[in-house]
Amino acid sequence: MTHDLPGHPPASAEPRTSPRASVLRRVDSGVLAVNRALMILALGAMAVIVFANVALRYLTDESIVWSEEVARYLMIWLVFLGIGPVFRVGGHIAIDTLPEALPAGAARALRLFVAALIIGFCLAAIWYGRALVLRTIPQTTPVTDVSFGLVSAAVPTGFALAIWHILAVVQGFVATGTFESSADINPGEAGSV
Amino acid sequence: MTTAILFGSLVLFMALGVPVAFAIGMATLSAIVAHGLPPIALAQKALTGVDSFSLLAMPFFLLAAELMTGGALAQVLLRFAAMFVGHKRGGLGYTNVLALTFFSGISGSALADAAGPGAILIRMMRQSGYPVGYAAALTATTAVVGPVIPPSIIMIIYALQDPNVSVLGLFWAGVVPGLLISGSLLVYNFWASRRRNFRSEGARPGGREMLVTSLKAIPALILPVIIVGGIHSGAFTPTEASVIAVFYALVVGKFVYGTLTFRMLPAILARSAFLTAAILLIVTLSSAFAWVLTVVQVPQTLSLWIGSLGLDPLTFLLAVNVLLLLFGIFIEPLPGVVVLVPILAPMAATLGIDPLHFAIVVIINLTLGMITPPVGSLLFVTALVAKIRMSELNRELYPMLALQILVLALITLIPGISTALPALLGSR
Repeated sequence: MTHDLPGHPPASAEPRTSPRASVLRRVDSGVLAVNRALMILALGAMAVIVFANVALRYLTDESIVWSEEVARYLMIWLVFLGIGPVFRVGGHIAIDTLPEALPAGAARALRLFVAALIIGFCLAAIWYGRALVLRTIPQTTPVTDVSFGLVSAAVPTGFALAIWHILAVVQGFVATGTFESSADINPGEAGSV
Repeated sequence: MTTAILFGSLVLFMALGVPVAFAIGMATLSAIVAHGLPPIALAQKALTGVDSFSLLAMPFFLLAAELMTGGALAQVLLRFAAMFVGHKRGGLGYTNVLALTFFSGISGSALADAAGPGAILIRMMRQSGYPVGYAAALTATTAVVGPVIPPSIIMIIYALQDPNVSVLGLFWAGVVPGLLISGSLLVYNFWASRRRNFRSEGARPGGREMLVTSLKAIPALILPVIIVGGIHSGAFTPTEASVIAVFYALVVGKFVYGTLTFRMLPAILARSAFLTAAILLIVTLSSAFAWVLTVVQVPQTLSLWIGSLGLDPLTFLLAVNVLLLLFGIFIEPLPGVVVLVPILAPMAATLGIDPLHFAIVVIINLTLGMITPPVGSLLFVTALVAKIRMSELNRELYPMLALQILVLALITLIPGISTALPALLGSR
């Protein structure tokens, strides 16, 4: 079990008292909770659907024709829904040799630049993802016969949510290069196989 | 020119500290714009890059390993391993290597090995008076067999990058090299235990106790047979085998060992979902990267060029090894495989190198990058679970790493170590 590992200090700013900030914080924790729950549901559903199909095929000779397709689309949604929550805990592996070697001020400037680059990439991905959705709405999926736009929507949705989550931790990231602590994963172990 | 932009910007972004996934995406977008390709292709390739049934095996094997750890299968395997070697001098060291090797037959990742049974063993070795640095270094180095012995997440991803190999062929090809790595570490532990006078753990258990421990271990030991045997016989695909592993781990953990509760499931699922998303974002964005490579014909050009040099295959393999070891200091196996294999595998094939042999060399080499100081995810995780400083770990690590580079050289020089078993069993 790695759940009892020492976490990293939370990087979010110290509690503020202004009512607007507290409302924003509550909305933010709601967004994160829903986002995380959707990821859990997607993975759980993927496993159940694929397993049910295998079990059924062996036990009854029947099979669920849509299982493979739905499982693949759930995995696509899982990946894009995960961009933001994974970023929050520092789970996107990066080479931090340069920022660590720089003096504090220069490192802050570099991390600010990096954060701007990432948000810029997210915006581009939303833009081109939106174009992809518009193009794929008329197409339908082979088995389930729904609009492929429901699948391709994962790209702009995921990157839009990612911007929300990035903004939630960007202050701590730029200031000290730290992220939120989480019982789910430790930064440094994600992205590893 | 486009190639220069693609690789130049990738290196630049990564050096600045942009996360690898985003750096791959940004480099791809830059090259797409520079080459005048439609940028919508980035979104499209990023979507279709994970639209693969065989890739589903990746999250499932990850989830199965997490369930195994939560369900105490790791402890059962550990007790089983201890029964044979615990009473010998340096017994917990041998137990460490054996237990992680058994666990590798269930898990597909080095990290799962280090964070699961590895964490428990480090704690036991510390209590028994071993230097913690030694325990952690041995765990980190042995964890390298996780992705080499089947099942293996990196092999599932590798098979998507090189059409000349199958997941099953890779699985079989990894068995002997994986056992060779474990064997070399058993020998190292033998030598270190004599030299440093490590202790043993009491007497060999009695026959009755050994029988009970073995019976208890059967459900855990049988799973690798179900996975690899099931795929080999054609009974199910790797993806189906992986999902069977998930439910097998669930049932065994819940009803046989009784250590897994349903209340633990959301946390286990969340952890697997986070790891999956982090890994597959890199995979899917790099499929856009690989698409640009093909459009500008980089693999084709390089294959022609390498073919025209009249190079000896062995020279090429050695050059690749040096390149990847240097690369591995900074780069994880996953980006290494998804960015470099589409280029290197066709070159190797042009020179007549067996694709399975090449794959095993690349996978072991890049996995060693996870334990190459100063940074490496395996070092990070083992130092974290052992609660020691990285420098304390690294001191003990160097001789073990050197030994693994020797093993890698052996596997590079003798293709049969990788290719004999798949050839014998008739799988590519």
